[in-house]
Amino acid sequence: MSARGKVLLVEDEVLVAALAVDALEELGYQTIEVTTARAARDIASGKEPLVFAVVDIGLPDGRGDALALELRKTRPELPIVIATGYDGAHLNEALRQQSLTAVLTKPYDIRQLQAAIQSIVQA
Amino acid sequence: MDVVVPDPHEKTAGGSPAQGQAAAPSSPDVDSIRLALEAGRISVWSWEIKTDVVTWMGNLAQVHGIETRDWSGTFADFQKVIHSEDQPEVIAAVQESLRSRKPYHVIYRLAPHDAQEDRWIEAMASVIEQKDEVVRLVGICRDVTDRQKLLRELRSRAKQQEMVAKLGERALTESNLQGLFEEIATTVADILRVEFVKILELEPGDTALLLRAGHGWKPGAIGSAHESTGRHSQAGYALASGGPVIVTDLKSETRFEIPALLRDHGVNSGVSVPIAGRDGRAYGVLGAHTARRRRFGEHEVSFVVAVANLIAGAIQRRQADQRHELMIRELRHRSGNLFAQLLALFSQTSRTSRSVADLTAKYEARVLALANAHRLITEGGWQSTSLKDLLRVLLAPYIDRVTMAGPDVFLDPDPSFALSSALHELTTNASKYGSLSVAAGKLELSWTVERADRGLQLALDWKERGGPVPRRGRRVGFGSRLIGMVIERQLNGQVARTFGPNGMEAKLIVPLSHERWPQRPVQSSVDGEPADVGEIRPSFS
Repeated sequence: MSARGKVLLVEDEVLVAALAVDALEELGYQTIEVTTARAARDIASGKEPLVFAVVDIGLPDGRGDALALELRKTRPELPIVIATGYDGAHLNEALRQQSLTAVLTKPYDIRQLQAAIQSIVQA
Repeated sequence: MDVVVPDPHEKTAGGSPAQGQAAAPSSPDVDSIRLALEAGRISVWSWEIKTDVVTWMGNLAQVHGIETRDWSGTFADFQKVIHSEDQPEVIAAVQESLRSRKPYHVIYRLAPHDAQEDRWIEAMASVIEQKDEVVRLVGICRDVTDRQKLLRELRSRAKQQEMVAKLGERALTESNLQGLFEEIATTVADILRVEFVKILELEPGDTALLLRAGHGWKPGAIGSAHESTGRHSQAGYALASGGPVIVTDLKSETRFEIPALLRDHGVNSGVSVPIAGRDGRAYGVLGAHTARRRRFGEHEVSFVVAVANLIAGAIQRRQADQRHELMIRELRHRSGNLFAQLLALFSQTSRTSRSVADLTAKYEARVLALANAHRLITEGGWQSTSLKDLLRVLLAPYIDRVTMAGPDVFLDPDPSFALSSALHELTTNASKYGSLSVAAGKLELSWTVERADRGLQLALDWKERGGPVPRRGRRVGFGSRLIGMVIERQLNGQVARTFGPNGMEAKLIVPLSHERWPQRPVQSSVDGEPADVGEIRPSFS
């Protein structure tokens, strides 16, 4: 079931990504999986409609919060969930001040993911 | 000019000499006294109050730089040779002696003469009375410049030591490095009596030094002025020489060119000292400069060196704090990731398990493989892990049947984790269905590091020999999918497996560490940042 639309998942750790894909699918989303910031930028600059994005903070080619700010340039209304092992205090200040941003602390389960999504995505 | 020799029998304010000392040896004659005064470099002088005539015997005129032809012999005339700043003190001392009739004692500087250094004179006198009336001051004077210089040097060294101790204490506790640097700059200017002090920081790339903090420079210079690190600049020369560079006259300097910052501020003399950084590299340069022409003494240079060492200590402490902070953050992130991985691993393993016992065995083995990799990475201080060590740990139960050939390759923490998952799955497969499932079976591992279009890559050959003939077309299990996922998706590599009559063979290609993702942006990631934090510079808050 993917009635709710497509989600961009940026996570380089494949096992964690697999779990996130399962959870997102269970919540009714279809997932576009990428492992790098570069691939995420490519998707965002394309035409694919996205309901929101889940971005890991530590990517092999850059920081997730910096990527989130870049994604907002091409898609200003894109809600973004930042997945991080830290608390939100280490996130980029500019990003933290933007609405449509939620912080999800790792490890997370489907309920926590769902709560983060609900806080930024209009049902 | 008359030369007046005071009469030793005259009554003085200090009391009358004893009378009737006929038995005492006769006094030296005037010539002997003159010779004795010369030997002691002492002058005897007298000032007749009523007539206002100053006379002397000895080298007073020479010491005071008095030209006798301009000399009218009055006290007012004498006053002119005294340094204007010291005249009030001398006059007050004279008036006090005339009033109290107590001995006169004063130390004063002579009025400056050309570029000559300050000269110091000590004068002492007795008040001579006649019929309860002061008629004259009679005394001696001598040049005490050497003594005064020594005294000043001692005082200044004591002050320098005190300041080094004080700043050292501040450097240990102060978390605001910029504030500490500014305080240090002002203190150095004060102690060395110089107009300019600079603390230069080596910029990334080591080609320029930034004026990080300082004292006396024009507004806007701090935080923007630069000096080159080339040997032609004073700071560059100091960095290259590794020790203090002393300049007495910048205009005639031949060792390096005058940096714009010093030229714009009319600097003539100075001392520049390198500030040590981490691992024997320099952090920057500390310099004290003056527009005056000045020869900096040994102890002044030592003081600048001590302060530079103190700055180095403060910076290194700050860097250690930052590294510590980064390690803690790294640890938190990795713990979060690790727990997420364990959850994901359980979820995936449970789907492909036939029974609880099967799930338990597989999950335990996978978690153990991760734990082993984790231990190796931790032992390596989160910096790098040797591929050989990783293979030895993962293949420990079969190690006597494994041959390894290849250079020692070091992997970053993330690829180490990922590769260990893939290698664990290959090992499990081999132990269940491949060469490691029979006692005679062997495993040949060989690898090379090669430079491909996208950078350095590791090419690892896994060859199973002496086992049962591999069966093809088995259902692709989670283990095989995991190998593909971590090598191809996570590590941006390639994996190819072939099932020949000799046994299963796999070729893994893994791009190495920093060259794993081409065109990696310069900006570093807190998480992606490897534990090597060698380039951390203190931030100024």
